[in-house]
Amino acid sequence: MSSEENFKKGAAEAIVGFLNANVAKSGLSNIDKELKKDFVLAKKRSKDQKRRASKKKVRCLTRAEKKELGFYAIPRKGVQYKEVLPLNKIWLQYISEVLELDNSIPDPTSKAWENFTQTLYRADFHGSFLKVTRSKCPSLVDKSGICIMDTRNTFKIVSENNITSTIPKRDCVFQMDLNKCKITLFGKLLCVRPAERSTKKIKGHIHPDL
Amino acid sequence: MKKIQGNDSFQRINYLYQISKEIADKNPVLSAYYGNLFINVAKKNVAKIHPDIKRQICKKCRCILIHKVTANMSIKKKNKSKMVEYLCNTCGSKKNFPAKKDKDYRTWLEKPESVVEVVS
Repeated sequence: MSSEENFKKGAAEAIVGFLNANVAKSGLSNIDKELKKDFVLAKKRSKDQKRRASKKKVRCLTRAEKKELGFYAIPRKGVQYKEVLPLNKIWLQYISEVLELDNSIPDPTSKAWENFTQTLYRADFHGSFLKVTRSKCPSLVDKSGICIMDTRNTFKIVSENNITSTIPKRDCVFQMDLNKCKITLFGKLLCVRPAERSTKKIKGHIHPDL
Repeated sequence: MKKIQGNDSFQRINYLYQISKEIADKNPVLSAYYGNLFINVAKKNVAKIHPDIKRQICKKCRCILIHKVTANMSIKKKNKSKMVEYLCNTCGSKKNFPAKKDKDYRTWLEKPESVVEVVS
């Protein structure tokens, strides 16, 4: 401790000596005064900074935390068909409102057709009744059920015998059952994240091939 | 019906909110998934969600908050003013709303003078 104090004193004396040697003659008398000056606000910190640091921010769950809570693992027999049936009911209302099914469905050659496909592409498929009509993988053909999850490359569907299965979109052709009509969807064109699909533009005619 | 910009995304948000509420009591995980999705759709389309809907979803896991189903509501005192507190059962986070007797907490969107035109 004492050695440190000695060092500090020495340093202070050195500074004073340096100033005495180097400051212009007109300023020499002011040195003592200037060194004893007190800066009033030097040791005070603003209150705002302290407060901001102590505030906790509510963040969204990270992926790891979500996984811990079981957000990604939907068990094979975890969802009952009865539970998702109301979704299908609401979905039918929704899709008929969006596509305006009360009016007649436009002709594929007419101008309104492009608008129709665009809105269908932007609509939501959660809760729709999907049936696989064609697929590269033969075991997936004829699987049907209500879609509960829609990711970039897969659909998760709950079939009538309460089994949840994952179906890759790319190699399948789906059929959707509306009350009036049936719609065939090429899964290859739906390989977009569900949230991004509503802003993305598609071409009117793409030649589908499996 | 008059055409509005971004109408299909609003319809989609509305639908997702409905199914999120429908499935909340059976499968909160799926409810959170739909809640997360409609917020993402709104973000992508730069559309605003009505505060009434926004208040009903958990800030953290985005599950719908329904009293005694997915959340527990209680009234608490904090600095002499009362607060309505929602405790989410899925992730355990809290959501507070101030509730003073003689104060108007409505936002601008909820006031009747903010409505210019109703399109059906």
